[in-house]
Amino acid sequence: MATLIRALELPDTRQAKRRDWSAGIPAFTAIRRLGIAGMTGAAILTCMIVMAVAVPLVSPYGIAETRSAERLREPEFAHPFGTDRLGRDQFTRAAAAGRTSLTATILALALSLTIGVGLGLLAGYAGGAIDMVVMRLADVIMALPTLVLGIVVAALFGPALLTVVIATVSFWWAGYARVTRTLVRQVRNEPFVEASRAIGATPWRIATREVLPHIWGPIIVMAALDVGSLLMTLSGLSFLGLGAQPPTPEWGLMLADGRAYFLDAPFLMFFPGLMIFLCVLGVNLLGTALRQRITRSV
Amino acid sequence: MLRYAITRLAIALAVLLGAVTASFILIHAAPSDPVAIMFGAVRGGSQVGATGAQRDALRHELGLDRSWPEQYFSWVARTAQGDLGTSFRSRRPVATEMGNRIPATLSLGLTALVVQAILGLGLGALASRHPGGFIDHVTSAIAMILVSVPAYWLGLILLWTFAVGLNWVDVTGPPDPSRIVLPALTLGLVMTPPVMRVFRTSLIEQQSRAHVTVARSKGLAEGVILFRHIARPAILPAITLLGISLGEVLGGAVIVESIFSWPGLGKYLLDSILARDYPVVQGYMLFTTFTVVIGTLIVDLLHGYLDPRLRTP
Repeated sequence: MATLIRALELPDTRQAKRRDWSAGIPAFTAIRRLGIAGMTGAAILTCMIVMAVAVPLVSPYGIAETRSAERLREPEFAHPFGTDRLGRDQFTRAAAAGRTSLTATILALALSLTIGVGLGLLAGYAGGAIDMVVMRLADVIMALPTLVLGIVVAALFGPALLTVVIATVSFWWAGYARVTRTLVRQVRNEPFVEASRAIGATPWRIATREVLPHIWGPIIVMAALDVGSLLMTLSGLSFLGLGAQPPTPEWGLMLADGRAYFLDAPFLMFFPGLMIFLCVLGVNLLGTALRQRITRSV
Repeated sequence: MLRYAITRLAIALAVLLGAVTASFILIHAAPSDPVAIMFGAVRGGSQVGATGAQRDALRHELGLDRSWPEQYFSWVARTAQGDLGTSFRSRRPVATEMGNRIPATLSLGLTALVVQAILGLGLGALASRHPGGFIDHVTSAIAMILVSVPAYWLGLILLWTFAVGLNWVDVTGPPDPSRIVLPALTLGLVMTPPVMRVFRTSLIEQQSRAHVTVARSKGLAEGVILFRHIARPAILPAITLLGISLGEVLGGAVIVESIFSWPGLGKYLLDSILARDYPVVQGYMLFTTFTVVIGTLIVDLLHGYLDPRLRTP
């Protein structure tokens, strides 16, 4: 993270000429330097997160509360996203689904990064047989279409949200492992690593204190650009009925449920999909802006 | 070249063996008993009449009472001969059942590739004319939107717009070939951005090359320069990308076929998953791996043939 902030704070001569309203506040400077696209992405994401956290708390409707008198209502002021066949308020459910989808995505990303970066460090630093095994495994996994793998793993272990997360992690780590390994091999013989080794630092200390802080930036950027497709994959598996099960609010599942009312209530499938789209768009805009900052400044 | 080809072939075989092994482990690690499923599937959900002896007989027939190494080697040997096992539901060979559905998926995939090629190359070429200009910004915004839109949502929106909103497409009538348009458009649209970006970058790169300056100084017509000297070398990386989208087509087909009820491999996979017809799931995974590995191998060999610098595996 430190590398990331540092990269964002490097002076940008083009913008420094203007009056710096955010001078002295690093977080503001970092945000402003993301550019219009990056700021839009950050704004969309903030809105989605605020909505996911706040709406279920203040909404007059419960997440699973059914009202038989208010079934299949068109979007109106009382129900901005309409209601489904059980009279559940779709706005509240869409917000709550944001919690499900975002938590699942963050969990999957954290697990993939831990496994991928861990194995990448091991393979890159240890070399030899470990390197061979880990990298060939990653090669096999990366040769396959990700969605098909996710479907197969999720199908074999029974439909559940956690299954889908594990299924996705089981192949998502490979990309991080490969990148980490390449980066580690670039720095493993640098003087500062040699010096650390010379004073007798343990391999664990060298990996976590010397190598990892040095290579963190590109990995974070790669992860930031991946979050969107990770969210789409997870929701897609739920859409296919392999992930979250009713009555859990989840965007992909809500979209799949809405398909049954394709003609009479198209809003049921429109809004959950819109939420996925906006979330992914926000993440991708932010990720692209981060990549541009880092590649320009490194 | 021969040395390179042999190395690439060996790697491809190793990846295939890895996938065959992975599918064996997956099936055996899954917390489900194939014999119980098979009796369930055959007898319509109830397990009446499935005595212990019948179960044991079936277990023996499937070879499940043999040791793991034995099962593994017979699995590898059978797969190598193209035998992907027997479907629990239809009791017919998985390979035959999948073969019947390949044409539907293939026609969908190829049409999607055409959409992807036209849009990707077209928009990429437009964007490259004035890098940083208005059109470049518009096309990169389009790419950003297409990258972020989930295929399952885009497909439903297209279907609603053209079938309900505009009433151009009849989704209730008898099947006819024009039905391929919407699914292919959905699949093609979501796969467009990478091709567009690669073609744009490679066109911009070619524009500043020495041979283009030479062509300009010779006073050649702009159209000739554009097509013969810039686009021809620039199209190679984009074509490669189109070639390796094969795997993505197969993955995306699962979702698109399910939305549009397209009777291809993807829908077959989903139906089989719901019926817990595991040999089909396994067979599909192997088929996909095989297709992708062969596709990558062809692209790699072609590249090695065209550009000797790339002959380092």
